[in-house]
Amino acid sequence: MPLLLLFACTGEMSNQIFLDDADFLAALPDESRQTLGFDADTTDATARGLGDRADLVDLSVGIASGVNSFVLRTLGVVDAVRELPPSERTEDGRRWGPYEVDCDVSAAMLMSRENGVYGWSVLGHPAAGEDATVLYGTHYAGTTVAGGDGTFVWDQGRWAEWCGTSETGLMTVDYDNREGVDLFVVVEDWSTEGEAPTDWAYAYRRTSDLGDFQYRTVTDLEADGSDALATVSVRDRWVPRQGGRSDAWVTGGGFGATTWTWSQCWGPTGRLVWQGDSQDLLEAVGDAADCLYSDAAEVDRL
Amino acid sequence: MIPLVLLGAVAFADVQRFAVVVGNDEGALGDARLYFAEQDARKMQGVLSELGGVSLMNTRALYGKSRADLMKVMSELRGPIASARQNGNQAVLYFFYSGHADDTALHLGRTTVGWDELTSLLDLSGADVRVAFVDACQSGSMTRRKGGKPAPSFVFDLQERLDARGSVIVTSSGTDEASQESDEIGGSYFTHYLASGLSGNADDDEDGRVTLTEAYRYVYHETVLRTSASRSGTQHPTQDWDLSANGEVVLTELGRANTGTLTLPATNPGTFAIFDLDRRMYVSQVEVQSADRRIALRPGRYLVQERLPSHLAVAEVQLAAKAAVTVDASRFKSGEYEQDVAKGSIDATIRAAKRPKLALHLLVGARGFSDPEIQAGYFPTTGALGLEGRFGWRDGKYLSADFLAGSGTGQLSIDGLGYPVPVDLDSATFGAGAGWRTPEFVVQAGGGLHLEAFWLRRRFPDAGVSDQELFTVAPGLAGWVGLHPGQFEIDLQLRVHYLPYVVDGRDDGMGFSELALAFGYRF
Repeated sequence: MPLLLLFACTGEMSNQIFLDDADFLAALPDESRQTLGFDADTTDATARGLGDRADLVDLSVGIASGVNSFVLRTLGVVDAVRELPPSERTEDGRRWGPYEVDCDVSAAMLMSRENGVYGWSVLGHPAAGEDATVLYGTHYAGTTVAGGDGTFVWDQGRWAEWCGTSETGLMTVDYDNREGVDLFVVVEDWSTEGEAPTDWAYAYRRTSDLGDFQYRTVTDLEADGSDALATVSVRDRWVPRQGGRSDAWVTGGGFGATTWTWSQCWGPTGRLVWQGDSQDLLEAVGDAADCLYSDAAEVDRL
Repeated sequence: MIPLVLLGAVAFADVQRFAVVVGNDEGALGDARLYFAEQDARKMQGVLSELGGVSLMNTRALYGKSRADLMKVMSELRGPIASARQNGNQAVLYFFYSGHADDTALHLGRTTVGWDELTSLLDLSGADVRVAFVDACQSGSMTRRKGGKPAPSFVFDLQERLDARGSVIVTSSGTDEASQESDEIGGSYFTHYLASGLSGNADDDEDGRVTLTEAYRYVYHETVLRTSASRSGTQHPTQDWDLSANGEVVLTELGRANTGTLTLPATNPGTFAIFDLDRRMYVSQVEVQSADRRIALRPGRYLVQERLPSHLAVAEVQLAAKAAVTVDASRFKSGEYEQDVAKGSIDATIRAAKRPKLALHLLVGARGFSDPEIQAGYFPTTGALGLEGRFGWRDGKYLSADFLAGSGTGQLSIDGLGYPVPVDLDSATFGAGAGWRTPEFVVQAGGGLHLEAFWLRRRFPDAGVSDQELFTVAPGLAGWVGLHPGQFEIDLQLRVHYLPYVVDGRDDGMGFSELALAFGYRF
């Protein structure tokens, strides 16, 4: 009987081809790994205790939200193919589409794989005009396919050209999923309705026991409609469910060539526990000894 | 044969004879399966047909049937019996039963017919005269309930109108006695001597007719004598007379149109076995002492043999209709015991009774894999339809063979995919099982080993992926529980199998189950 059982099996049953589909999809960026998030309690703090809210937390959450919405809009193209089986399979490649998308453009996603490195691109085919790649990336598999690192690029200018919108620019996202979430987002030559192109950069790192968000932005800090905008460099550091510290360096605007530093420490719900600045422009609040981080840390990734 | 019999029936213009012959080797729970009950009934059907003036058209034979079947034929006969009486004929009904019984009822397989109910059925038949022979354990309960006792002798002629009404019941044993079968004579003692008595052995006055009194006297004497030394104890046939006329009921006539007469003369005494060579059937055992014995037989070739201490004495006889053949000593030749055809016939009957019974089942159910992850990711549960044959032995063993085909569609849920993968799943198995079942209750259960040759195919419609097939052998276990009323069976079957196949590195193996309702009939 054992011999019979040993030799009786013929044929093959396997889901490998579908598991390969899943590997290809795992190499694509997704919302859970390529977006910015503050500790939940801290984020919730923006909606409660207005008088106690730390202004720099408020600013950072707003910035993160803006970055997220942009990234998510980009990833929407990728997410569309997650719900569909590939249109074509080869041993080391997949193709989805082409599908009709917005603006009389049809798009197809092409993926290839070699030695754990996945290359992918979304190729647009407009009703009028030349075919072009609007979104592309490279992913290096880690211990799992999804747990690796990579880069993707969104060409907003090409999309604007097809759809006749005014926003242009190039967004590059470097990510590392091997431990927590590590993002480096650079927006180059961003322009809306003829405005002068600007460059933005954001660095975000989040593990189970710390968060670190760095960015530099140009803003009307006094909100007085002045053309003299300030350059604000901010670094937020926090420990989930305990609190954190935000430090900002402001030049330009009303400060001219002077650099004004502004620091705030906050508790587990974003409640302000200490505030200080380099020129005593703001009311001193609390005791610096209550800060989770005693010293300021400079923006060092941008 | 049939036209002759029908012609024979026409000859009895004023008397229409009907017969209900019932034999059932099976009884209720705990009743040992009988070897010869149905065969005895067939033998009696032949005697009543050939010598008793009962046409085939007026005969209802039930072998291995249930209470419902008996009710049905008794109901069916009421019409012809009433019709016969309306035409001015006298209606006589013979009832013969061979099988199990207890002190309350006949056991027709798993069903029962109470003694009182049987009496009512006979009374309701509408026949002027009802003659019942019941060869069953404790069958004396039937006559005891009636409270009857032997009545004065009657004389009725078969060819004359019976001026009588009422019933006669003859049973094979007393109220607390067993009715016994014998491997030596190839049947029950009672029926054996009843049949051979009606064939001529009971014709004491040698007038060529066997009356009920002669038959009863002969059966009683022989049955008591032959069972007196048996382990089960002496068996005493009983009778109950309830006839409102004078006369004697003639049961058989040895000189009927389509029979011949075989005479074993007193000049050659001994015990002779008679075997029907044409029909390969043991017919009778005849004892010849001080008087000639005449046996009425249908035309054909017969073997008459006497077992002597050193050898067999064998005579082959050709018997024609209306012919009379005397088998004296000069016709016998010496034969070896290995050529004992009568004994061989009995042995063949016993072997046949010991052969397993076949039940065929239609299977309707489902086939699925036990591991929920395997089920969700690889092989969805499908419906299944099939056939099974199960051979059951008397001692509870069974062997089965089956075919089960499964087919269905489903969707695979695969980790990492945001969409389900449609799949068509087809499977087919040829299985074989061996196990044991509980005793033959109406509710019965069984279980054992089961081995399947298993073929499985997956197709992925519109996915651009090739079909996948697998063939393997899967060992497993099977169990069932169900209702087995009469010949019908309804089982709930569960089979669990191990599939010796590793899919995508899942080295923990796979198990699959089949759950089915089995609708069956036992032959």
